[in-house]
Amino acid sequence: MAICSVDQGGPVLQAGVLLRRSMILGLALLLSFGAAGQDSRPPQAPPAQAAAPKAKKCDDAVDVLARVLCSKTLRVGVRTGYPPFAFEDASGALQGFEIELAHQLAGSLGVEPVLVVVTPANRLASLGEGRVDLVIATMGHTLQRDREALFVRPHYYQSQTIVLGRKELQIGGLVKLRGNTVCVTVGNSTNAELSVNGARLKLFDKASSLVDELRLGGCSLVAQDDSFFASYLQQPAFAAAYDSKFGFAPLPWGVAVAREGGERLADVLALSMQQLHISGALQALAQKHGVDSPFLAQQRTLWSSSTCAQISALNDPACVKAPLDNQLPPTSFAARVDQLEHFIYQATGTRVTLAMFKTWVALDLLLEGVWFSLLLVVGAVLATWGFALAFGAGLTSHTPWVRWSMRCVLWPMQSTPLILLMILAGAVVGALGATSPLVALAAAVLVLGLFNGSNAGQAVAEAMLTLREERAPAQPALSAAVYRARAQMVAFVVNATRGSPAASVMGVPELLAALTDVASFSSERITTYTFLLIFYMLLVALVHRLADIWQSRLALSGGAYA
Amino acid sequence: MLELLPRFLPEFLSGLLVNFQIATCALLGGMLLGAPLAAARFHNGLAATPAAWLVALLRTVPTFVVMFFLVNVVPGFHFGQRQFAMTPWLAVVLSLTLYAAAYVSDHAVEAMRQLRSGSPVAAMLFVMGLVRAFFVMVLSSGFGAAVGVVEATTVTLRAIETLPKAGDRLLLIALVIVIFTVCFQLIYHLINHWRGKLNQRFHRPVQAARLEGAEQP
Repeated sequence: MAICSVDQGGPVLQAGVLLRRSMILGLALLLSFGAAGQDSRPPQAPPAQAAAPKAKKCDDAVDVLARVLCSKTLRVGVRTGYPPFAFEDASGALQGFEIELAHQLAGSLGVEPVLVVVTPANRLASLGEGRVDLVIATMGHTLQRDREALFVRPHYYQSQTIVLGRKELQIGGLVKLRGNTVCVTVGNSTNAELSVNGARLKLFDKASSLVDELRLGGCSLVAQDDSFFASYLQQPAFAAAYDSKFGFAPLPWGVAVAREGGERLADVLALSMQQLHISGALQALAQKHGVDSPFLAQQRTLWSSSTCAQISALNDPACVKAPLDNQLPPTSFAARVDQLEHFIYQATGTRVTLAMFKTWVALDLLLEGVWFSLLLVVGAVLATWGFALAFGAGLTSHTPWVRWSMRCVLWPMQSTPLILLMILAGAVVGALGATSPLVALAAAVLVLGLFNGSNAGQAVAEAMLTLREERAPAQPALSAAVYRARAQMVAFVVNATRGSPAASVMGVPELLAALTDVASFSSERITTYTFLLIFYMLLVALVHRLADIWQSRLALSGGAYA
Repeated sequence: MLELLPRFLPEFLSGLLVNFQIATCALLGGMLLGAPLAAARFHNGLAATPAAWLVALLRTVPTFVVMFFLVNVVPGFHFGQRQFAMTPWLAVVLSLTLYAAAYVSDHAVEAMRQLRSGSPVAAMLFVMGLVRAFFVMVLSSGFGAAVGVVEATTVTLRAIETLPKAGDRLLLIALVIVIFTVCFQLIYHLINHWRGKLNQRFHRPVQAARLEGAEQP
C-alpha cells in the first residue's frame, strides 16, 4: 500500500523527518527486543515450527508491537462515512485526516498500514479481540473508555459540542440558552449540561436528522460534536446560512491500542505523536483536510516547549491532557434500581429501564418535574375556576364597557392555538427580563386559566342570561348560573389539566420537560415516556374525579340554586 | 418587521393548510374509532361496559403528552400490508384522533338517544358539533410545533426568531392572533347562526344547544 505523507517542504525538514523516523524505528526495535524476552514461546523452536509460515509465527506474538514489526503490517481500525476525518472517495478508496494519520504512524514504524473499517459500536471490541492493532476512529478519550483500551497520548485532535443555528440568531453562551429549544441526538452525555442550563431539548435518533431539521425549519438550534459539522461548514451554502454559536465540553480524541499486549506499541506511537505535534505535521495534515482547530496549534506550542519536548514528558500531567469524565454520578440506590429492573424482567419478560432513578441529575430533574407539574395543575384548575366566575360575571354585567372588554379577551382566547398563547406569554416574560422557572410557571397558570376559564365563563354567562329570561324581573345570583353550567365548568377544568404539559414550551420545568431531558442523556425513552403518559393520565383522572364529586355535591344542594 | 411580511404570510397560509389537513385526518380517524364505541354503548349489549371504559380512558388522554409518547416510543406500525413510520405529523394526527374518538362517541350516543325519542334536531346538532370540534382540532394541531411539524405556529415561531427586537416579536404574535381571531370568530358565528336557525325551526331552547360546544383537547 502506498504511504501518503504530508509535503514537508525543504531538505532541512526532510532531514528532520528522516531523523525522527530513525529514532522511532530504533526505539521500536529496542522495545520489541525487550518484548521478545517476555514471549512465552520456547527459546529454541523445533524444526517443524521453524518451517511454519512467517505470518503464523507473527500472529503468535503476545506483544502487539512485536507482531507488527514481525509481520511488517499495522492493522488500523478506521471509520468511514465521517468526512473529512474518514470517508470513501468516488473510487471507493479511503480518504481523510485519520486515514492519512494512520499512514503516517505506520510509516514511522516502517511498516505497511492495513485499513480495517470499524464502527463506533464495534471499534473497542475489534481492539480487544485482536482484529486490529490500533484504532483511529473519531474516538473521544474518556475515563470510562480507559478501562477498555489504552489511549496513546498526546491526543491527535480535540472536538467539542457546538450549538449551531441560523446566522441571524444571537446566542452568547450556555447560560443564554434558557428557554430556547435545542435539537440533540439521544444518548449524548453533553445533553445533561444543556438541560441543566435551562435549554428545552428536542430529541432525534441520528445526527443527520439534525441537519435535515435545520434545513426544514423544524429546529432553530442544534447541538452536536463539531467534528460532525466540519464537512457541512465547508459547504459554502451551509456556511452562509448557519454558524457555530459557541462550544462546550471539550473531548480529546486518541489513538487507542489493546490493553493487553499493547503497552509497547502505545509507547512508540506516543513518541511518533509527540514528534508529529512538534514538527507541525499533524497541524498541516489537519489544515489539508479542513479540520484545523486551535487545539492543534496549542499542542504544537506545548510539545515544542522545553518542558514537554522530552521523552519523559509523555507521562507528565503538565503536558498530556487528562481524559474526560462524562459519567454522571449514580444515586445511592442505583444498584437496587438495577435489581428491580432485573426482577421485572424475570417476572414479566419486559425490559424496563428506570433511568430517572439511576443518576442524581436525572432524579433531581424528575422530582423537580413532578413538583412543578402538580403546582401547574393546581394553579391551572384554580385559575380556570376564578376566570370562569370573572368572565361569567363580566359578560353579563349591566355595564357595557365591562361586557365589551370581556368579549375582547374572550374572542382571541377562543380562536388562538393554546401553544401560541404560551409562546406569547413566554415572549412577554422574556421581554420583561424574568427568566426564573417560577415566573414561567405563573405565566403558564395565567394562560391556562384565561384560555379555559374564558370558555367556561361564557357557558356561565349563557346560563345567567337564560336564568334572567326565566326569572325576570328578579336578578338571579351568579351561583345559580354556575350550578346550571356545572358540566361545562368541569369539562374546562379537566381540559386545563390536560393542556398543562404544553407549559413546557414556555420553559416551565414540568414533568414532560424534565423527562425529555432525562431521555436525552440516558438514551432510554420507552420507560421514560410511558411513565410520563401514565403520570399525566392519572393526574387528569384525579382532577376529573374530584370535579365529579364537586358536581355531585352541587347537585345534592341544587335546590338552593335552581 | 414590515419587510418580513411578504415572505411570512404565504408561508403562514401554507402552514395553516397543514393544520387543516391534520384536523381533517384526525376527525376521520375519530369517527372511525368513535362510531363503533358509540354504537356499543348505545345498544347496551356485552360490549357496552368495555366501550364505556375505553371512552373514559380516552377522555383522560392528554393530547400533548401522547404526541411526545408516539414520537419517542412508537417507531412505526403496520396497517394491512403497509408499514407506516411514526412521523411527527402522524403523531399529531393520532393523538388528536383519540380526542376526536371520545368526542364522537359521547355526542353520537346522545344524538342516537334523542333520535330514538323522536327529536331529529339532535342528529343535526351532532353534525354541527362535529364541525365545531373540527375547528377546535385545527387550533389544537398547533401542538405539532413542539415535535417539529411545520404548521402555522411553527412558521410563526421561525419568523419570530429572526426578529431581533422584542417589540417586533410581540407585534408579529399579536398580528397572528388577530388573523386567527378574525377567521375563527367568523366561523364560530356562522356555526352559531346555523345552530340558531335549527333551534328556531325545531323549537329547541337555544341554551341547551349552545352548551354542547367542544372544549379543546
